[in-house]
Amino acid sequence: MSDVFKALSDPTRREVLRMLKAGPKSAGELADAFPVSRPTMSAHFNALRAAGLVSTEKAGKSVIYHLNVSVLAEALLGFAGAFGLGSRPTPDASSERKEKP
Amino acid sequence: MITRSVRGSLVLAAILLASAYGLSLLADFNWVGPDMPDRVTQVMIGLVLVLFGNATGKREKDADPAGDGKPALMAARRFFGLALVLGGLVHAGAWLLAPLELANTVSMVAVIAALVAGLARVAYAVFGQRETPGEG
Repeated sequence: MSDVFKALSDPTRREVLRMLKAGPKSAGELADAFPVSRPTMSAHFNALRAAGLVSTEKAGKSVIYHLNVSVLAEALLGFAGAFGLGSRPTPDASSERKEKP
Repeated sequence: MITRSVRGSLVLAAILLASAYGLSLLADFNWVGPDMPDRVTQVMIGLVLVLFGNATGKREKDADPAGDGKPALMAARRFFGLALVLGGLVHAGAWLLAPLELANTVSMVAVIAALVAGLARVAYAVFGQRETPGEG
């Protein structure tokens, strides 16, 4: 359970989970939405996987992430988001990233 | 072959039966009040509902290949799980706190409402998706 709390304490990881609510996404799609390096995103993915909040499957060369939350974990995700645990990610991270030279 | 979830369910059922039998024995000896066996058993049933509802949203690739990866169906499963959890909590809370006559009614209404809401949401996800017009 401490893995779940640890995973949900980070706003980037919470945002990843929110994105996955819309459906499975590849690691590349998820990484593109955040202005952080690939190794950092990989560490976030590992934390989520260790907590059992996401499951993965290989599709060719890419890894597809699926949301895999229990009701309790989803409630915790909602609470963590509502009370703003950790700092919020930048409002439009993807556009910031694309503007970089 | 008995899977892990089936083994867990059998253990839970055994615990429920054993505790119900044990409590009824204790009630026969007047060691606990006459309400206690019913209340404890029903609270446990409510908590089992919470336990199963909590795990419903988890993706089981092998057990549910048809729903695998479909966002609408997974969202419906998560809603069904939430409904079961809430129904189970109301069921357990009612049997813990309310007078017996009221607890019976409240718990039944809560669980039935949770099942109906959850199943309606799943049906909407299944049939709503089928009726969605395709591209082209």
